[in-house]
Amino acid sequence: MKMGVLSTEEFLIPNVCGSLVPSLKEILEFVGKNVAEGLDAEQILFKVKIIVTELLNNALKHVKNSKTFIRVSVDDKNIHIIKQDIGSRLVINDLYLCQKKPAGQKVQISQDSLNSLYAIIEGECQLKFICEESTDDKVDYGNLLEHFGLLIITKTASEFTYTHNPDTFLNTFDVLIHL
Amino acid sequence: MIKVYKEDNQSLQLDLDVVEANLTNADEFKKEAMTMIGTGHKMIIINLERVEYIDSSFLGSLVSILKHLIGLKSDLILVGLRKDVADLFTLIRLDKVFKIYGSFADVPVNY
Repeated sequence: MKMGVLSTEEFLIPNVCGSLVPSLKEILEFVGKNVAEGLDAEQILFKVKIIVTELLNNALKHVKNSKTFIRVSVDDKNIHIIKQDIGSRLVINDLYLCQKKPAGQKVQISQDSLNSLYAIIEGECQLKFICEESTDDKVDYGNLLEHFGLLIITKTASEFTYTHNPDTFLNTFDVLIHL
Repeated sequence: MIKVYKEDNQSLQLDLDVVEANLTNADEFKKEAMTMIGTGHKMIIINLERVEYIDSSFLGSLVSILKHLIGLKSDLILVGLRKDVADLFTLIRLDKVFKIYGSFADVPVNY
């Protein structure tokens, strides 16, 4: 790939367990072919693999559509991954994150002895995920989380946002990896 | 999916025979593991050397098993983590809650 050139590909992935590994392989092949020379391709592909795996897991677990749309764009500065589905707004741990809240409000999604995951409200039905690591070395094994999907994406991505369109019911997960 | 490598009064050493440890086999792994543990072993050691990648669902199953074993005053030790798997543990700081060694032979005898 020439420096600075943007390559984009769209993937329509069936929401069935059997499509997980082949779809991931297809996306990784596309990214691998288009990563600029001189960059750490192994590390970049690892990040893309982590993120796409968790996005597809999310679709398999929560989306009722038969297919998930993923668009991947690569240039010499960023990899941009967008996952879209039609459905109800995101609800995590009974938190209705799209209810009207003031922009800038920080809402805790989960917390254990290791990490705290938050949503920063950016607008009506738009939020950004951030993670803060605990500074306390003591581990409370009883409260350890067993759901890591959003946490993994948040900690791997440079930016990770979610938007819900209440008119079209379109959910968009938008992930940016700075290279 | 899980094969017994070695068993004695103290420990149960298990080989996990999957390449992609993910949503498709996480629940089955947890069920299978739960039936094999809890028989009085002080430690359960799981070898992950065949696993090329592990996702959040499978990590959740491992944490669930760890919590169950701690309740039984037993311990879960992981060995044979490949780089991608180890990097994922480090990313979400699970390396701070699991005892991780290179191989079965690296686990201290008098653990």
